[in-house]
Amino acid sequence: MTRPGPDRPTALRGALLVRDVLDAQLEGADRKRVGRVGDLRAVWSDDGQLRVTTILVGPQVLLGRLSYRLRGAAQRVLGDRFAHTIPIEDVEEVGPTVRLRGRAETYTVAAGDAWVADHLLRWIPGSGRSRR
Amino acid sequence: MTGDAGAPRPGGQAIHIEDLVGAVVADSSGRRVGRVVDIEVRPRAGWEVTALMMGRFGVLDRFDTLRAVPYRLRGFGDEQVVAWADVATFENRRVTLRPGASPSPAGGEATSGTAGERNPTQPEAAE
Repeated sequence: MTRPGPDRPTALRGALLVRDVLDAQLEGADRKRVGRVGDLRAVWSDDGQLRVTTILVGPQVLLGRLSYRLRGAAQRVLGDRFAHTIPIEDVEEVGPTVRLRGRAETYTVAAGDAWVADHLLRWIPGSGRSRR
Repeated sequence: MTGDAGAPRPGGQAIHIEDLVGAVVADSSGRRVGRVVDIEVRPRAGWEVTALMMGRFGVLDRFDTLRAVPYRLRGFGDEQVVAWADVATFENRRVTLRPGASPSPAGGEATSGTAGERNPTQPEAAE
């Protein structure tokens, strides 16, 4: 017996997570890049609905994608230092990129990129960042 | 770990979507009917997962650029979907369907062509 619920879909509508969201470029409302979607967390609630709740970004997320067995090891080694989460409600639009409602600097995900740019890339000639 | 993916039934259990992608789908008798290659959601309905899209080409389904090849050769109509409402359990990266539930053919414009194409407009514009 099949549990009562929505009719079985005959056509796919909406977004597809692998095609449209996973690995997609995240950008802020100001069109600045924030990072890439590493994984998504969903919650399967008592009413049977599965809802995506959180975007996961960070190196340990990517390790977890190589193998779920690496997820625990990455957590032990890296802790939460490089892990970032973004509430799914912050997604404004899904298209060629995943655009967030806030400006890029409001997301700590972008802080790592900014640090690299300010402390490392500035030493590369032609980077456009002056050495002070 | 799949402890979160090992929830035998709902109850506020957290699931990594990456664990769900690639999971084997079996009917209630244990017969394998495919693997999850994509997951349909409705962003404007609280990002509710509505269906699992199943493929037949294993790891090829994970590579956008390669994915088009077998589906072009064999026809995309082979692809099937199963409603999330028909899912009974998800444990050890294995999806088991409820008794009587079975996949149905995928159709509609969203899957025409290759599945590697990005939707240039709002994904739910067709709804």
